[in-house]
Amino acid sequence: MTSDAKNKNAQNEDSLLFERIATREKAAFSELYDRHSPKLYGLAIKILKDPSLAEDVLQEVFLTIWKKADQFDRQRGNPMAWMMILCRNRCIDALRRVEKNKQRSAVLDENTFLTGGSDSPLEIANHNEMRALLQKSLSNIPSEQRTLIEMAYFEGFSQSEIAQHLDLPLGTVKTRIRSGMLKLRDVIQRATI
Amino acid sequence: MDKEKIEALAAAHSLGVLSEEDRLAFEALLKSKNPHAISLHREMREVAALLPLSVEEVAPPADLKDQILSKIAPQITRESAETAAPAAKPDNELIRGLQSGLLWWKRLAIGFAFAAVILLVGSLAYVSYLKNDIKTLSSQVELSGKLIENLKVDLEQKKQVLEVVQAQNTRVFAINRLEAAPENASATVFYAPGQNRAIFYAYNLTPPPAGKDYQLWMLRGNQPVDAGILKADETGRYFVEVNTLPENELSAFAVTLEPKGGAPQPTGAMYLLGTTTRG
Repeated sequence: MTSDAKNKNAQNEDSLLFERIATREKAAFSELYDRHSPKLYGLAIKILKDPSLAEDVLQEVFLTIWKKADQFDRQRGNPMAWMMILCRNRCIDALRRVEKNKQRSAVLDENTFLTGGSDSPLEIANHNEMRALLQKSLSNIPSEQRTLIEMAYFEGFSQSEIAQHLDLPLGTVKTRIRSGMLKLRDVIQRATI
Repeated sequence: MDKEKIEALAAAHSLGVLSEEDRLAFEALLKSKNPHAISLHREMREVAALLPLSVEEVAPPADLKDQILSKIAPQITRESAETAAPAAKPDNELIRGLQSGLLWWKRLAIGFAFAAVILLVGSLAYVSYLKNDIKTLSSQVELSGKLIENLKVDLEQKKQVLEVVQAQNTRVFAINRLEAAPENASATVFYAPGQNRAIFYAYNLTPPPAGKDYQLWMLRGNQPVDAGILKADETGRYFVEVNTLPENELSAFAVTLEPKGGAPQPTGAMYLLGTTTRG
C-alpha cells in the first residue's frame, strides 16, 4: 500500500470513529482520545503555556467531540482539522477569560471542517512528516512573517491588535501575513504533489 | 480588487484576523464566485489548518482520560462495536427542550388566570373557565413542534383576552340573541374603557352559510361602525378583538350576517344585539 493510501486510510479511520462515537460507543471514543490527545494537548500547551489550563481545554474539546460527533459529515468533513480548530478556539477563549481583556479577537470558524474540507492536505499527509515539514517551512520564512502568523493563530490576535502590540503600521502587518502564508502554501504544495 | 489585495484578505481570513469590514468584503467576493478569491480561500484555509500540526505532541496526564470518560458514562450506550446498539430512542433533548419551553407559558397562563379572578367582579365563572382552559391547554402539550406553535398562538390569544379582562374598570355586557339566531345563542363583551379595547365572544352560533361571515358592529349613537369579522375557534366559539373603540357614544354591539369578508354597512339579518351602559 502506498504512503498516500495509508494516510488516506488513517483519515477514513478517524471518520469511522466519529460515526461510532455518534452511536455513543465508549471504545471508539477511547480510541480517538488515545490517537489524538497528544497532538491536541501539545497545541493547548503551546497556546496556553499552562498545563492545568491545557487539561481543562482538552477535557472541554473531547466533551464537545462527544456531543457533536453526530453532526460530522463523513463524506465531506475533516476530523483532524476540526479537532485542531476546536482546540485552538477553546484555548483562545481560555486566554480571554484569564486575561479579562477584549483583545485576542481572532476567531476561526469551527464548523468549516465539521461538514467540509475533506480534500485538505491534512487528509493525505502523515502527521509526523507534516509536522517536520511545517516546522522546517516556518523556520524558513522571514521571522517577521512567522511571528505575525504565530501571533494570529496561536495567540488569537487580530491584525489591528498585532499592529498595536508590535507598534507596526496595519498595512505592514497585512503584507507580512500575506507573504508568509503564501510562502507556506508554496512549500506545502511542492511537498504534497 | 487587485490580486495582492485578494491574497491579503484570503490569508488573513484563514487565520480569522480580518476586521469585520474586510471579512464582509472578502465573503462578498466569495459569494460573487470570484475564481481567484475562491481558489485562494481554499488554499489559505488548508495552510491555516496545517499550522497546529507544527506543534510537538505532549502526552496529557494519565488520569485525564478517566475523568473525561466518567463524564460521558451516563450517555454511553455500548462498550464497543461488537455490542449491539439499542433501538433508536426518542430525541430526549428535543423533549426536554419542548418541556422547558412550555413551563414558561404554563406559568404565564396560571399567572394571568389568578390575576383575572381577583380583579373581575361578576365574571368569576368565565374567568375560572379561562383558567381551566389555559391549564388544560398547558397540560395537553404533546411532544410536537407544530402543536407547541398552535398552543402558543392560542395562549397568546388568551393573554390578550386576560389583559382586557383584568384591566381596571373592565365592564362585562351580555349580548342577547334575536330571532335569526339559534335559541341557545348568546354573547359576552368584555370592555376595557381605559384601553379602549373589547373582547367579544359569541356562543352557539351555527356556522355561517358558504360565502357569508358574521360581522360585529359597534353602534355609535345610531351609526353602525365595523368592528371586525367573527372567527370561530376550535370549540365553536366566535371571537373578535376590538382595538379601536370610540371614546364616547358607544351605545350597543350587534352581529349581523354579511357577505364573506364583511360589508361597509349592515345589510343582513341581525343575530345578536346588546346595549352598553356607561358609568
